[in-house]
Amino acid sequence: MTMMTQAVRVGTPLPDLTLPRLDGGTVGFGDLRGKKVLLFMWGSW
Amino acid sequence: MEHTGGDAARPFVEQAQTTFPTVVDEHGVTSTLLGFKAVPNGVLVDEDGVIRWAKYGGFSIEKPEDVEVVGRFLRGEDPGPSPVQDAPYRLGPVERDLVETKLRLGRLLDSLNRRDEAVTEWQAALRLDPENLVIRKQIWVAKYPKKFHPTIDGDWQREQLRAEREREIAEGVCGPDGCPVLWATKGHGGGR
Repeated sequence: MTMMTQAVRVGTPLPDLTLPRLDGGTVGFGDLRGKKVLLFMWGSW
Repeated sequence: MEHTGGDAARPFVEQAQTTFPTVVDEHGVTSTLLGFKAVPNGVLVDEDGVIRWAKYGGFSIEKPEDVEVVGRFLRGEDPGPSPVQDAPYRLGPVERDLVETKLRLGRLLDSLNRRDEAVTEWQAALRLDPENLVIRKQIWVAKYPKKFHPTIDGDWQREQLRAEREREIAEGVCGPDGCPVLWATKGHGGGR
């Protein structure tokens, strides 16, 4: 991972981060190309 | 965002009977990457992988104004301007690097079971970015695990936030541009 000097902004590409799925496996943001995506981010805390 | 791991998120996902995939960001990587300081958030990404709209804090599929933005986006229309994130200060690039470095060092120490040292690094990061509720909660989860397991104590969080901010304001910790402090003055709750 490179050092980020600036947070990713609207109008720029979403970085291709891969995160573990709750039900097993992973999702890479890059795998979502070709679809419109809503990322909903929340915490149980 | 799950500082306590995926198990804490599972009951909520099961209750909501979601049909979309849920991923777990245990270490707050997305927070640093996208620069948000609170949740819940909505981010719209187009077919080319470009972020078209983002609302950091207070996004809800139960709010008509948020649903309307998502609808416009799905119909191929411009989702409109993104809400500005509430913050009384802006971190410069050097400060942002320093915050991220301390967060990463803290995660590394935490993974080595050196929790006290991890908390010290996270507290240094929070001092630079005191409005960042994601960092603040990461510290709380590490220091006060019983307030998060088996149930999450919302009243405790509100009182803890109030007390910590009161102390920080008294100590003059209000971010690089000084006071005022939104969390303490505008009745922001636990960021849920």
